[in-house]
Amino acid sequence: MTLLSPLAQAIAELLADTAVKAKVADRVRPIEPTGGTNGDVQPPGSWKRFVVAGYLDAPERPGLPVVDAALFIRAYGTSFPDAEALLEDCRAVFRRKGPRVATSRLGVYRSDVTGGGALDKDPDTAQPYGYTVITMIATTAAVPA
Amino acid sequence: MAKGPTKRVVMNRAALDAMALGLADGLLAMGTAILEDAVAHAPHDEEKAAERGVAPMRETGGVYVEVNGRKVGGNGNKPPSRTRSTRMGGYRSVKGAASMAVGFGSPIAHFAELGTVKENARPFLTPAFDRGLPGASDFVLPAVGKRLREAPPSELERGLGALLGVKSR
Repeated sequence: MTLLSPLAQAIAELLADTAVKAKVADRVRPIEPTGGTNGDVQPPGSWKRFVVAGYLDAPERPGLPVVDAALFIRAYGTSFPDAEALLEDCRAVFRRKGPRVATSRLGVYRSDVTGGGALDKDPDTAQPYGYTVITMIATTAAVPA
Repeated sequence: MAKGPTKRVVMNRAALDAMALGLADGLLAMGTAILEDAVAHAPHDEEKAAERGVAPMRETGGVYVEVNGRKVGGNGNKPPSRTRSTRMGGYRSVKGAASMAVGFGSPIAHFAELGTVKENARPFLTPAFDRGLPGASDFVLPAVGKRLREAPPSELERGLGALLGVKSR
């Protein structure tokens, strides 16, 4: 069974973007970062760049096979300017992007940046990050080939 | 404890006509319902709040309504002004429009909504908005109707004229 997931599609699009990939390699995570000695989460002085994406909400339109997915993206950097630059690279992936069909056959009508853009420090590690909200209007059924 | 409207709000509301006032009333009612929904689903963060020396998030919610860039209504302990909660969301008032914002003044509310490295996101405000917005007409239409029924004829004429782009006599 192929999972038609706007979140999975967002992760795939971030990983496929050359600017994002150049900075974080494969460290684009759904829901939570990885821990452990070589994980994403490191103490001050050893910070790594990584991106976390997840759902804020994904209501379906009544009577239609369409979902309005609101996703958060947190882009962690080694400094505030670094986090801001990574965040902007992530936002560019989804800003005013039109119709496309994923390899999973998920149809995406449109994606856009609809909120966020602010910077903060993580309360547990003090690592700088920027966050944004993107909206992805997608299908809930596979698009025929 | 709820406070009455400030003098600034009273003056701002006096400058509006019946339709704009009705719209503001409806938006305030809708925002209040959304806020109550968000509070009901907000994570319990009393321990973390005490650790950080701030009020629990549930107690910091507020609603803010403005028309033509001027505040005309709000409730909650400290309605989110155009500071952290609304500015960070990209909120901008639009001339000639009515706007409503709901937010939480707690400095740790966005950590609950968006998550941290150690705690996964537990969105409660975005889902509350998504549940509440489709029912906007249930709040706005009765409020506008009430104001129109109470408005004197001269004010109705002026308001409708403004709506239609026709100068009243």
